[in-house]
Amino acid sequence: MTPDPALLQPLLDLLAQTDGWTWLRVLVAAAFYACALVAVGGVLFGQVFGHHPGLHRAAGLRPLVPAAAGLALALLLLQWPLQAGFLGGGTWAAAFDPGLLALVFDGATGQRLLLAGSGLLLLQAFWIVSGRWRGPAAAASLLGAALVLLAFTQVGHSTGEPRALLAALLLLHLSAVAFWIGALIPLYRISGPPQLGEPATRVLQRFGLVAAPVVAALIVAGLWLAWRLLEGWAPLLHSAYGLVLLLKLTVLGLLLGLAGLNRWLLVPALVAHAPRARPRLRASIGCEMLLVALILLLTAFLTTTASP
Amino acid sequence: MPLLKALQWLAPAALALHLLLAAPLLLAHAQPEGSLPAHGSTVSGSPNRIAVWFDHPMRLTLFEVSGPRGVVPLTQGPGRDALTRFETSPAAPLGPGRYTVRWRGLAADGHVMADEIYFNVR
Repeated sequence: MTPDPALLQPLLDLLAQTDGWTWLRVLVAAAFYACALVAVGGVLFGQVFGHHPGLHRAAGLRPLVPAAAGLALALLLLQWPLQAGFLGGGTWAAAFDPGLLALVFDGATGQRLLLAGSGLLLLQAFWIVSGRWRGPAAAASLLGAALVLLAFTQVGHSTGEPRALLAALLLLHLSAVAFWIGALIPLYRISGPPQLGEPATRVLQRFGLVAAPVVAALIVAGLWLAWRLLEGWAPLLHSAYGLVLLLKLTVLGLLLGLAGLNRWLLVPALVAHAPRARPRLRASIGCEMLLVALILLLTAFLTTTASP
Repeated sequence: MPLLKALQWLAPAALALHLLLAAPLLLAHAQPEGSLPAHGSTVSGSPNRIAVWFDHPMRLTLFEVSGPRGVVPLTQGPGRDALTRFETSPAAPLGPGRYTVRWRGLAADGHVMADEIYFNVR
């Protein structure tokens, strides 16, 4: 049975209206989300698993977090003229028009820029200055992570009513997303070298236990937020926003399948020293990263172009 | 040190709570509510007015009408003040054909909005 083409019409109309400048904004937004969430998630991963001796260097968090935070800061700043350019008709002249730049900065977008920028700078400085997982440096890096997450609640649909509920749901959803995304590169790195041995295996096992309630919170908060924004589930099939959201949920389903495979099959196989368990787990985590990238791209498309 | 460890979590949580509760003025996500001429309509003769209106204030940064002979000169452009209705007129009567109205703007919640509508003149 083939789907009714009329169901896809809202999405096809939206795609027809999406010009090159908008696609550029989507790509930059997706890259920003990825880098910011890797940086924030790296801090959270370090807080939870950072006390395992010998794994700090293998996980690569110390160079990863400031690098991701720095790249996120550059992409955040790039979004400013891109937004001004779009408002002016999609030209580079409009992108650097002082009036349009001031308009974009004045209001919610400027607040987001300041909050996220401060958070990313704070993250970067303290991870470069000190790689310790405790003390004032850890507190400051957590503060930086909190500022970055809060910045996401300053713009868009979560600023509607009831604001506290929508912002709290988005915050919970993003914190869980950051924890998951931030863990992927360190887990990929420590699942590679066999010489890391038991400590790495224990982290992989423990991550599976910790991730379960985190993923549950991610799903519940995300679905609740979507339901509030869409004002029900009917728009899922009748609006461009709903159709892209459905696609995002489908990819999320695949991601959850992979995560389950890791948790219940591949990590236990690694613990049991099964042959080829290590490269299979690594490949699975690599596939998770690709699906996460696709989800972030769909999210960027939703936040940049569509409206519930 | 237990106090320092507690502060690592309490400080960001307190900041988060403060920022969530100290929300600024109601920030609305503006949606287009209608246009003149209506989207997809056919009008007899050149319209005297071309307008769009929204459910919440919108700062329009671009309002452009184009037709069979290119971009149509208008008597008034958007002033970037937040408004719920923008109205203008063609500087000269429009000939027969299909016309597209393209606008872009910034809603109060920081969301960039854009839309296109079309109408026909016969």
